[in-house]
Amino acid sequence: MSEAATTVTAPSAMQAIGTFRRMTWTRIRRGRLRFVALALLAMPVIGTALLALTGKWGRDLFDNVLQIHLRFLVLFLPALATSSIVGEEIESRTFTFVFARPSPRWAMVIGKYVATVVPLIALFAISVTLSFVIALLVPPAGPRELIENLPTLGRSLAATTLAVIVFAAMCALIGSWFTRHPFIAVMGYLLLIEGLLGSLHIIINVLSMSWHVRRVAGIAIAAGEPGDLFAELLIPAPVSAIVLIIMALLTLVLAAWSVSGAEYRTDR
Amino acid sequence: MSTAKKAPKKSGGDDVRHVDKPIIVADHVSRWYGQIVGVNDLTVEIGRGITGLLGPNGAGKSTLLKMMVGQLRPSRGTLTVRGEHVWKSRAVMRWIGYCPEHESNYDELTGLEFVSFMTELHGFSRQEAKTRAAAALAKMDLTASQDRLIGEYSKGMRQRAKLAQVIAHDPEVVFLDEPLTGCDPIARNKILAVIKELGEHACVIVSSHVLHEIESMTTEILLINKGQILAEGNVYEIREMIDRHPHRIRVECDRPRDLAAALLKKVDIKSVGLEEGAVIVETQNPDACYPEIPRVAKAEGVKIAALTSPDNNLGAVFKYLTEERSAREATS
Repeated sequence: MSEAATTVTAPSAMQAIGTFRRMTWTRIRRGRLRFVALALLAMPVIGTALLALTGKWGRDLFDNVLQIHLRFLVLFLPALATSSIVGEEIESRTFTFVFARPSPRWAMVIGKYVATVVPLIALFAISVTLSFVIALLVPPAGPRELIENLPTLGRSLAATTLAVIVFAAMCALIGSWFTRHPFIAVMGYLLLIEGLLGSLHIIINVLSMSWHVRRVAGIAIAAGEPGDLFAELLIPAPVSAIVLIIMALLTLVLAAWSVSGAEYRTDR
Repeated sequence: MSTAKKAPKKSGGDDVRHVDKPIIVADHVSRWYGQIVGVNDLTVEIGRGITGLLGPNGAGKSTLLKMMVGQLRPSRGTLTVRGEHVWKSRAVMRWIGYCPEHESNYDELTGLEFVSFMTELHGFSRQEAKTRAAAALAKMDLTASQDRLIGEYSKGMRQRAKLAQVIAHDPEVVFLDEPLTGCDPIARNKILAVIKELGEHACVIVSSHVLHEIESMTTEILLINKGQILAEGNVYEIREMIDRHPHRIRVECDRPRDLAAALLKKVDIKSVGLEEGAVIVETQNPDACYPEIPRVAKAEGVKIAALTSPDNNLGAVFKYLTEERSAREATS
């Protein structure tokens, strides 16, 4: 028996997660995803600046721009980044390297998730903050208006952060079920449930996470709007935040669990 | 297998010989892909040293290896490494090193990063993993390229990088699936040397469908076809067991037709065949035949250029066993 095999124990879960996180981050830094994310998140900032040049300003301008973040970017970017967390390993057959190790398999899902989500949250925060600053500093607005609206910025940052966390986890889960075409499967879910259902003016829109995200941001459908069947049942923002956190944890655990006992073939 | 002498198997069933200290034990293991049988009721014990897993494409070699490294679950039977069931066992993963057949890799990582990360996943600290990775890459002659992206590596370099991630954590059971595929002669020699070195202290299973590749590594083989072990043991032992199949001798000469006619009259042979510039002799009695052929040729005035026995080649062994098995199956 070789010395190494007898003296070195299997890595702890945290050590394995850390290794997968660093490995994924190294790959992201050299991949195309960073350019796509930067380009997409620059769009609202540039849009805010252009609209400011046409005379728009203040909280209204920011609220409109925030819709780009909340209705499109928080869905699309996590889908792009995490839907193939499992699928890319299966399709490229690199799972054969990492699954022949004593590390728990689920550590791969968590490690890759963390490596993807943390920079995304940071980029969203920068994009939202820049859009806010531009919108609230353009005359006739100014520093005073900016300071007065800081709570709005706080809610917007909380909403985008929670949105990235929950949608990345949901995309990872769907991607782990449909490893061959994960992005298509995820987009199907996003368009149908989050896009269509989430925008309905009826109570079932609470089933979509995007509705809860907008509640946290404070821009959900207002009570009493046409088609709002149960307006009095509008859920408070903190409850929506809790729903998002629970959903993120649940889907992430499911994604990790689905990989742990799965058998993947390389001959398909 | 190298720890004890074993005889060839006649079938994939109960006539398995036992090695002294088996490391890998497959007991009536089967694996199906829907209606397709990948491995069929396979029983085998493997000990230290290098064991060649030889068979044509689709024979079940990769399926067997994937079950041995815990990436496929046996549909039936048990498969253990050092007494531990492989499927879902993190303990077994600590002892093994696996080099898959495919060429795919993490192209965005450098060779050093790839091997370091893989070694870290075996429980080594970041620094220790990096040191071991550098040493493993040096052993594979990749030090100069260790900071280049794997995506820029040639086929041979990728193969060597794959082997580096196998040896970096010093495993005691090594599975190599077609490790010489696509290698240039330099990479080939390097990989062969490393495999032979590994075989001195570890249990190494090497699969290949190329006969001379296995021959260049070991004489201990498992012949596998249609998911079953056709034979196991030393190539020459296997050859001795094929007593029902005539021994073939190829005689290269200037007048093959004349020599063939003369041999049929005088020598204990079963049949002769003609090839361009050669006579192919089939005999049940090679010991008597080998000295007699030159005598007959001399008497007939035929000049012999070369006298070879393709039977000493693994290719002949595999062909014979496959034919024998097919014939047996047809009879039964």
